[in-house]
Amino acid sequence: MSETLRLPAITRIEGHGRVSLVVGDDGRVTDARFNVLEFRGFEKLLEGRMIWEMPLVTSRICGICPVSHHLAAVKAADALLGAEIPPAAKVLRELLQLAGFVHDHALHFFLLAGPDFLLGRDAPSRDLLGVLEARPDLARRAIALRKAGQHVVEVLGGQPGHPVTAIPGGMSRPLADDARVELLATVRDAILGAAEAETLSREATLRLLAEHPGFASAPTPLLAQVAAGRAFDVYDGTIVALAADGSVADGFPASDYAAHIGESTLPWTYAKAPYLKAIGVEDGSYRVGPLARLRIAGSMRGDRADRAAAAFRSELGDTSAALAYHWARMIELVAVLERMEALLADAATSNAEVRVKVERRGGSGSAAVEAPRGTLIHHYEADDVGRVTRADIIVATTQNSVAIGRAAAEAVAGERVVDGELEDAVRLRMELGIRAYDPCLSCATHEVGRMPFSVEVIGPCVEGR
Amino acid sequence: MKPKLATVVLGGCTGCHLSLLDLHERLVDLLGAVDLVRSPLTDAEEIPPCDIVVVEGAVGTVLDEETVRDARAKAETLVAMGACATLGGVGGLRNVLDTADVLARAYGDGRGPLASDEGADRAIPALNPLVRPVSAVVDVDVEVPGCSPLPDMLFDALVAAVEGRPFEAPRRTLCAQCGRRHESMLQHDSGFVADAVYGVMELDAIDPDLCLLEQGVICMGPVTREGCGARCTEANIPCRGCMGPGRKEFEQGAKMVDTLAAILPAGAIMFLDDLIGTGYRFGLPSSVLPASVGRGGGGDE
Repeated sequence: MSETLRLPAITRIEGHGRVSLVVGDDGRVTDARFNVLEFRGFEKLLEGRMIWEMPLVTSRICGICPVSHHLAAVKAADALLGAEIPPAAKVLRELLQLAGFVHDHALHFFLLAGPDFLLGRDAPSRDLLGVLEARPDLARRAIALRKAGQHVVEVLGGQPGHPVTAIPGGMSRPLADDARVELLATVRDAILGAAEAETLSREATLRLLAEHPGFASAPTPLLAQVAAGRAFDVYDGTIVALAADGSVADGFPASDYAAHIGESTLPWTYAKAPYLKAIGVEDGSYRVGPLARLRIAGSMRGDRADRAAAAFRSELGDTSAALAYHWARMIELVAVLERMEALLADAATSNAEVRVKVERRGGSGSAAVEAPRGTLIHHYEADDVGRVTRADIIVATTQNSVAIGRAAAEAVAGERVVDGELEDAVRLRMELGIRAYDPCLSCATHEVGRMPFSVEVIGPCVEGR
Repeated sequence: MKPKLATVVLGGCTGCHLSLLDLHERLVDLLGAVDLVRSPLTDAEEIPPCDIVVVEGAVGTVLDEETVRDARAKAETLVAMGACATLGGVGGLRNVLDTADVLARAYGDGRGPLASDEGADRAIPALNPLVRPVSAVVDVDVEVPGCSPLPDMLFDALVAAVEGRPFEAPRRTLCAQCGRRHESMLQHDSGFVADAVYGVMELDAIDPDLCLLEQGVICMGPVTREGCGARCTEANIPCRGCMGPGRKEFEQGAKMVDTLAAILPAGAIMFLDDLIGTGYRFGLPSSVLPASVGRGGGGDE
């Protein structure tokens, strides 16, 4: 006999999540499941809508990374409609995507996950309020970085909440030259703050890895979209997958995703998990996001970021540790700001030619961007008048779901449950493992069928799951 | 003593909470004026008795319903924040669909956890057949419209709540706020204002100053309340109605059909390409339309 114990909700992640533990007769945990508690069914809701509306509707999947959905959708719509966008439109879209990273990475590091490891032991609480109280300097840093990123999103995207300006064929308006110059100054101001955050994340990551040696460190395949020459790129490129041993396992354009990424049905869970067909169902489950990108990208395309990446490699080598995501994420924060600086410094970014006229038609189209949490794929099929007949969306958190579940299970396996709760230290370790991936359940719950992170701890068979 | 404030997310995207974060420095001021006792950004889980509870998201599951009833019971003042909470939101588009079809699309083979009911072992809260705005389940004291709400408007609403003053979002239509020029629309003898209906992507050139409807692009401005700053139309993108109708008494989508019939050739018919997705993108759960396809609906219980 075993009983299932539901722990309180996991806070400071984006969305509703909860861990259920399966506890054996001896009072020790044998199994853990990460339950996602929302359902909105977005893929079905998109059917019947017009293809050119996808960027405006899908941005509502997620309030944290609406930019990524907006752009993945418009790229897939471009592909479906056969639109080739002008160079300046591509630059503006890339800038928009980069800006989305700034607010998102700063939010996660300073205000969501950071309170676990940035505050001293005497902090009043391990959350936003604790940061404001114990480290107001960090709160100010977070606010300044988020404000800079959201300002760029607002200028380029029309509004910071759910941007609207990417349309099939390009952008709905160009960037005025005086606005470009103003944004350049905003970005230059933010780079210093990002560099300080990177230093902080380096210290924190090394300390966390020393405190939790070997935790959530099993090598897995990794996947990311990168530009030619395996350069860091959040907007466009080719998908590259590494095997667990670090060798290249696969490479393909996003348009071929269905031939390369499968979805397994596991014998012990209703959940499906994306896997690399090149490796197979058994071992092909992969991770995405900052660590995957850093491991796959040969260049971060910025001097400061490349120096930081070199330091990362010399300290940690080809690490697989979930906790290393924190450092990788802040290296990216530097990289995206450096890239923004380079793009905004170019007067051609203000070019008035930002769209081509596009005619409605039917067909199918797929595209990917790198979202803050990892690769995001949108796929649409439409009838002759451009009405969507099928939509398929694979979000980053879904691709990390197996690893998130494993991290949670590893943290709690064999631990004793007293009065319906884990020991504080055990719960903290579990939450560290989960939050390292910055799971976004708002994104993930558009497709609940893939999301209940059911986890099996390797060990004695437990009946009644 | 500072007023106690709690915030919760039901079925939504967390975007309204991002609007709160987008207050930037003013968020610190706000947090200095209240005692934030519960929020997705902090570690407390239970909602204690408070002066103000701010709710983001629609009521789509049994758990959402439990949470919002709990929030109402604990709150002196309940604030519904954003389109999902006030109108039902984008997720409400499932109200004209069969819940089983929506689940089948998500699960494919129908083997999802909701397919079996194992009582206490069921980890995922059951779906209600209809998505509802908060006001359809409990009494709401303050509504802040928008997807996402403008941070400035949120700030004003919350400061009013803290000070115990009423808050009312503006009530005119977006056209009153959008600075675009009208030409033929204002001339009684002009006939239709455009020769056909287009997506923005289909225009030869986008006139940045002329009314989008006069360019043949469906814009929900005439039937949508102002207060968003007209940021979409400013960016050459038509309004999609996220602020909801200026008055809840009228049907946003049906009113748009009415508006279009007078100014575009076969406008209403073209609009039927996707009447629901355009006319009711954010407010289907507040409309009587789902009832007309046998799915219940209507705003208030």
